[in-house]
Amino acid sequence: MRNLLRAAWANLFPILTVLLLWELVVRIGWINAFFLPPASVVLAKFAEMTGSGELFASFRITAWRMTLGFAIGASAALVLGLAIGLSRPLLAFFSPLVAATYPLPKIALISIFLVIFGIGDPPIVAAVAISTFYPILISTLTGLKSVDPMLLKAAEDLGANRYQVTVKVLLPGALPVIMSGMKMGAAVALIVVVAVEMYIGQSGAGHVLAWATEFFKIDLLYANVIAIGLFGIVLFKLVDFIERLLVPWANRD
Amino acid sequence: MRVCIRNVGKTYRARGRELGALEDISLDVAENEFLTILGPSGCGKSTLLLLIGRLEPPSGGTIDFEGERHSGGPLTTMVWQKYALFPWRTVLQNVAFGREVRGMAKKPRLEHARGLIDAVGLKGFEDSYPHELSGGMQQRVALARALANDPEVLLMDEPLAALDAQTRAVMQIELLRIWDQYRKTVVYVTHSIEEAVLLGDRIVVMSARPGRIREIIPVMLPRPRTLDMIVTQEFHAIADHAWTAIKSEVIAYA
Repeated sequence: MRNLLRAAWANLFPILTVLLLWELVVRIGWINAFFLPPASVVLAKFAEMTGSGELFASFRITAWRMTLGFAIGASAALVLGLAIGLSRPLLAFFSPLVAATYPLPKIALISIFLVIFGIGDPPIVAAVAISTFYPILISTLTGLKSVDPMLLKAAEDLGANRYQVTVKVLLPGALPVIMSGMKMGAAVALIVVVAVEMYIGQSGAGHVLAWATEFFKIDLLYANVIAIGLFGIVLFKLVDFIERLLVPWANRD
Repeated sequence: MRVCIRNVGKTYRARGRELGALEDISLDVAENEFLTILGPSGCGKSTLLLLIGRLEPPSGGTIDFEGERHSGGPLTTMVWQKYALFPWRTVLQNVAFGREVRGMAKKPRLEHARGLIDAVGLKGFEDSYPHELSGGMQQRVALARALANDPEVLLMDEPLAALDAQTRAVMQIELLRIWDQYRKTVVYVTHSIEEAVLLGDRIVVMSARPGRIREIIPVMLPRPRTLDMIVTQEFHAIADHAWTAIKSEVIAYA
């Protein structure tokens, strides 16, 4: 309990120090309060938005778009990645396609999605899906290739047939690398959903950012940035937790 | 079962060049024999194990298994130098792997695996993951996993080579104790003369690449063997004999 308190304080102390400095430099007048409102004002705005349910409402929309897009992108990447990674002809066919389309920043497709899907959730979800698809596809292919051939030989020697070698050795062997692709996919999904909402959204956390900027609601802008940061922290903790659950054997510090 | 190896050769093709790994190997491994194969690095002794294990086909010659089958398991199972444990499986799940893929029901195969984990001295580590264990313990798991498969012939590819000297000495005696309990036919590859003498009923000394049988030395030391035997005259005589046979080969290779 004592250690827990100490650990909490070790994390809290630097944050409180920065908040205090922030408050001071604005109050003294070193920084114009128009560009950076004092910490107390931003935190008050944050508390007000939380209390009114405004924050929850916008993040619920954003989280839904992100989750749906991630789920679509990740499942497509997994299915295709496993199919390609386990079959030579498919690998030969898809390798050039993946290599040619991978470097394209997927965000550039947003206008095309807008034309295809119209305004609303679908183009945003599509942008998230296509952005998560690539890192997970690549990590699935890398993961399958990274499995120690000695383990495949050992399994075969112990009597496993080809199907068993695939399911019991190749897939679990690839899982740690696939999971790190999932983590990267989750990070990209958050970036893309906010960016696309800023650009074409009519609701959601990204849209609130764009709106606050347009109407010079600077306290709202900062409060929303902090909220997105906190949302990101929760998201990554969640992904870490899922990784621990799925890959309990991996070495960890 | 006996293993009858007749005129076996193996050549690899690498960048258009033929590389001879083994040449004209003829050898019988007797029932329940502990046969050690001694040779300089790169003499193809591990290749010979892969051929006996039918993990690779020979380029020429035949390998037959003769005699009555004792176990319900496969003809051979390998113990690898780098353990080759499945990192995502616990000790128990690793040891039960062979029976799992051969379709044995969960309860009896786990029961059987527990017995072997106990036999190799790892009771209490059933639910540990391989990375949580020391090298010596990992090799115990690998040995239990191979024994759980209940093969006719146990193939061991320098299983103790990655261990430090003290752990290695302990494991050699442990290995003999466990072997005494299960009495398998063993083909054991090593590059350590001392180990070959301490463990084997016979030592097959191989020449440098392409590997050929240079000499077969019987080891007339009583069993059970102990580490104390290493300082006896008889032990030294055999080790000297093996060293004389292998010396020129090591020099030729190094």
